[in-house]
Amino acid sequence: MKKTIVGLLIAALLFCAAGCGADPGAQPADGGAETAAQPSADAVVLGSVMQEMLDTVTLPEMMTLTQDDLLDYFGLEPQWCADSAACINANGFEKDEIILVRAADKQSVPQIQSCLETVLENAAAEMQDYLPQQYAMIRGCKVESRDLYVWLFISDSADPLRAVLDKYV
Amino acid sequence: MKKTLAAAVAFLMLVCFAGGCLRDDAALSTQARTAAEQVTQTLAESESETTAAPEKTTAEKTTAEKTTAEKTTAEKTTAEKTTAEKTTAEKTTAEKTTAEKTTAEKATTEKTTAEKTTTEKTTVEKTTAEKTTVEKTTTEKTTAEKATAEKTTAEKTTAEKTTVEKTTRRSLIDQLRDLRNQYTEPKPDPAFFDDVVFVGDSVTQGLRGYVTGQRNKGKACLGSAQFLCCGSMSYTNALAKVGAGSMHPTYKGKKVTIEDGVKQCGAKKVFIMLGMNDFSAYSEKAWKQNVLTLLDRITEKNPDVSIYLESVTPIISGMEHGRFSNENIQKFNAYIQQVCDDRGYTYVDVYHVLADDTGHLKKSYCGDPSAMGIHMSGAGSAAWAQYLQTTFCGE
Repeated sequence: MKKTIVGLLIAALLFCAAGCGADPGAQPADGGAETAAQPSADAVVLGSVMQEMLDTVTLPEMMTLTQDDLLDYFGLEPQWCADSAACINANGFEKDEIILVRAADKQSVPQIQSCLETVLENAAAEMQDYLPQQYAMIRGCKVESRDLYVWLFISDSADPLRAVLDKYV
Repeated sequence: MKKTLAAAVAFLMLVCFAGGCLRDDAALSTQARTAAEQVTQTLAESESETTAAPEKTTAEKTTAEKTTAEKTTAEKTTAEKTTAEKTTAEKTTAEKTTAEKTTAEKATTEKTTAEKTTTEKTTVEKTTAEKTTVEKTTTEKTTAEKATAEKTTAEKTTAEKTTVEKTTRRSLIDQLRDLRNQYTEPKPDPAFFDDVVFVGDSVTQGLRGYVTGQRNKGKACLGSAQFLCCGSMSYTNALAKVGAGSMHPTYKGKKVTIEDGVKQCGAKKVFIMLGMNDFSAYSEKAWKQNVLTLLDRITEKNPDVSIYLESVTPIISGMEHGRFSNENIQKFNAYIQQVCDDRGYTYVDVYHVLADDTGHLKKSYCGDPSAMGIHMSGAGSAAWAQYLQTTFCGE
């Protein structure tokens, strides 16, 4: 009896120890990214999604922006955004951009969409008489949304980027 | 017989006198004649006296005495005559000598006088001529000097006036600059860029990207400077009205004019680097005017800001074409430097920080060597930012 009780206690301790050592952020090899990027059923960690995009697609000289930069660069008010991730081409003359936003509420969605439309229009205007290839690329891009998520890809690799996002949104 | 002899002697004497007189002048002839007449008269008197002496005792004695007397008289007469002739000759000679001497002296005198007169005249003429020449020269010189002096004075006055105006203008500019420099002159001020806004085209967008990246890595870079950038923006197209296709920067997501953007972001110092899309697309006259117009708009809307005009950066070797050349960039930069001097703005020479020895953009600083050859790489933006940091912050 005593041996049985001791054995059960040891087994319990081992289970506990195993639980403490596990990494909650670790991505399982079998598509566990969805679990990691989406800590809850309602939210996706957009920073992680964007990092996966950058790991998947090769983009030139991309520079990651903070949430504070979104207002400066895109006019996105902080109160509209529950989460966001963005990066732009740092060289100033190529318009590759990734902008991912989860709106704070449904009312903010159209405002975010409007801002991103303006970004796209301005980019097109800048390149129209400047770099025709860039202009053509921009003209092929669009602002998209799903539920509270709004995003814009300005890139020749928009499709692979969208494929990454589709896994989480 | 005696009478005959006396007459013969008298005749001879007359002949002698006449000969002497013929050789001499009329005066001497007259004197000789007079002497002969006197001798004749004496002989006549002597003859008369001999005739009138009856008391002579003997004829011989009388004759002898008479002969002696006659002889004596004749000798006497001859001696007197000789003396007279001699005297006359001496006198004549003396007179002649005197006359000659006088004539000579007179001639000499006259000559001397003439020479003197001539000399004097010449001297006078010469003097007069010289005097005239001198006076003329003096007059001309005086006139010339006067004219020169007037001209010099006029030029000097004009130059002084110009200098004064220039000095006054320069002084005002200096005062204005001093006032501005109290806030803007490069000083070791780590917070210098906190109230700066950078205005520019795609080249400045590259700087913005670099600065943002550094800040997001936790590294201080140009304080909290803001940016109003738009690719393809120029002094010219920035003057257009804001619209869907206009070339204007965005401030918090909305397109704005530069002057409005500067006001909205609250900057006190405006660093402007535009022009690459001006000199290559518009006429010189047009872009020069547009530079001034945009600057006027900015300062009218923001009268308390300091303006810093950054030079346009160079093009990499091999990418120049047409008006898109480093030569035109230098020309543009010279113009904005002049604007800075005229208006008291600060000229920031970024061109030479990023150029190589040939005046082209350094290869390592170029982010698009195979595209346009004007945009910065990370290294180029870093060099640019470091230059600004060092110049204005002392870091």
